Amino acid sequence: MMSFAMYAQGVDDLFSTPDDTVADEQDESSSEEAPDEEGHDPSITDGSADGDFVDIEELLTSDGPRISGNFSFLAGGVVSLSTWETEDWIEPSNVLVVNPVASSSATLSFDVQPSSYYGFSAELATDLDSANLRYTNPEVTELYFDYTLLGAISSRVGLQPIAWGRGQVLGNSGNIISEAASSFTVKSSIPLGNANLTLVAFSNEDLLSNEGLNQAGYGFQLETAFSELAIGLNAVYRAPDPVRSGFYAKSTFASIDITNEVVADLSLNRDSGDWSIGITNTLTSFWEYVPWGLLLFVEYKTVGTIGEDWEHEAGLAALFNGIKPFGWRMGYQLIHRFNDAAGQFIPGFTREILPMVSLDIAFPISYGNELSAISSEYLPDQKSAAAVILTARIGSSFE
Amino acid sequence: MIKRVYQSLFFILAMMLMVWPATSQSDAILGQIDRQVSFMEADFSAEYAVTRFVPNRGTSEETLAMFRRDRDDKYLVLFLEPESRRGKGYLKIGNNLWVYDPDSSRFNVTSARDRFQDSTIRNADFEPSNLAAQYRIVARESEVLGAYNTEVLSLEARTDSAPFERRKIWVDENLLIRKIEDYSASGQLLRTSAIPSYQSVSGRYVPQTIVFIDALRGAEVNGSFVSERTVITVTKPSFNDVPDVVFTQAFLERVGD
Repeated sequence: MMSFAMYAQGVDDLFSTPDDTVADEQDESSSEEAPDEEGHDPSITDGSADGDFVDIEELLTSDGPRISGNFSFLAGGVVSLSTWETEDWIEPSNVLVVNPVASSSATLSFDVQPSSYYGFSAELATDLDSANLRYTNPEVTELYFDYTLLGAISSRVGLQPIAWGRGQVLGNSGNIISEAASSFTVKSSIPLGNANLTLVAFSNEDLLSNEGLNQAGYGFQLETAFSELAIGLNAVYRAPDPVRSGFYAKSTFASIDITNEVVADLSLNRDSGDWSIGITNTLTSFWEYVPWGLLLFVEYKTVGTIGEDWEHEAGLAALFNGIKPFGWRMGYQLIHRFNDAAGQFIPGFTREILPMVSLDIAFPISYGNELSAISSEYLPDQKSAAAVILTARIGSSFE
Repeated sequence: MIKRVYQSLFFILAMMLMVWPATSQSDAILGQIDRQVSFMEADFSAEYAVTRFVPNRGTSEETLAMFRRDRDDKYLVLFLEPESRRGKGYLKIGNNLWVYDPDSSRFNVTSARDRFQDSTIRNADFEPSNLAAQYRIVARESEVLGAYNTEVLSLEARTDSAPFERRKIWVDENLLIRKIEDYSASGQLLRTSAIPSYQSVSGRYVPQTIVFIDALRGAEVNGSFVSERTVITVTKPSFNDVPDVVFTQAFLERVGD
């Protein structure tokens, strides 16, 4: 009843009845207790007296094993133009290609959390092999053990998801820990005041062999903030690969979030004994325009080795959550490479047509040269100059 | 020449002395308002029932667990319901605000100005009130708001971190904010918020109900514009200590995965 009134009433009508704070003030003269230093009236009933609060222990524990899963299926078609070259129009069948597409995945998760200090999780996953329309054999994608030391240091041991980095449009080049995501990994998170330190050690699946230990990798990430400036420093080493190190700084200027992330790959040429440093620098800006529900990301990435030529790439992604012509949500992405003046432009639209069912349509277009050809995730082996992708998605989950 | 320099310096000093008391008084008033709903000396936790009403599309409900440690500028918001979003969460440490997606197991950076789950709520609404640092008072007047005698303060942003360029706040005799109107730089009304009731917990004031009315989003219903609304009902408020581990990415991973 209260909630209904909240929706139906005008704003000022919500204040027609005073709450307890006013009632308490009116009773103040009859109270023998005086307000404390902060002006609080001690006669006000303590709302926590009933002892009802959010139980953290309950959040972290389960009565017994929990099984959950999800399923998704996508089907549709791609009409693609293989090249802009006009002479190929003599054989239009070689130029205009129509392909049906289908993809599906299913996961089954098992987890048991007997205590807030430790727990265990596992996940099996399978994907649809679109070539023969059969599901692949289920693979263990996650298998890890959680434990907490001294009430603050959290550790996770086993096959686990892990990702760092800040990139949004031009790939996530700052994810220097990506190798650990498919390895046996020990990760510990240690709060240090306003900072957080993450330590990671990882190896291949053959962990117990000497070779496995020799191929072990180690990494850390330290993140903290000073007022409006947030910074993070990380590094990963795994022999014989070069040391990879990253640094980011994020702040806000004139309502625009600006993040600069630099990744340095330090490597030694064993023949010449020379060191080289490969640099990837990504400048990301994010701006939101509320009236249109516009989320705008602009990125500029520079990749190269000190003393050599550099490649420059820019990307723009715009999502309109507030403007939905005919119910379609719009998104646009533009990626441009400056070195060869080529790139891709992808307008996309999505709409929920039924509960759990969405319709997606995209019109990717490439320009410049053949290197900018689009590779659709549904047709990875086929490059095209332009395409129309129409798909319907259905998904469901259970717990 | 020297005389002109002295005249200029005197003029600048006089201007500073004229402006300084007003700024100082503005800071003091806004600081008092901030202190009424900020909890610097204790941790805060509660359950937030979020009901969202979208005209022509009905209502949806979510339940969140909220943990705040204002003295360290930290908070954690965790989805408890619906099941499809359980485990998703927001973690703020200083200027860092991450949103954790358990499906991809990735932390993404988000902004305090972003809409919370594409609703009328902004991520900044979960933070302690910080008006003194973000705004200055440009006008004030008295107004009766239903059962309350209020002071209406017109505010103007003085930092880029302010969630809105301009705000108008209605403050009651307890220095509790009762109503807020948020405006763009051009003066367009973006949102109206109302806090019709507070509850007292351990001698501190905690909102019991918060209503957010979106001035831009809505739909025509029976010929008139009906705004999108979100109502937060705060239950289980507590000032018990929250373990340090809660304000970590590892906690979100543990609860979410």
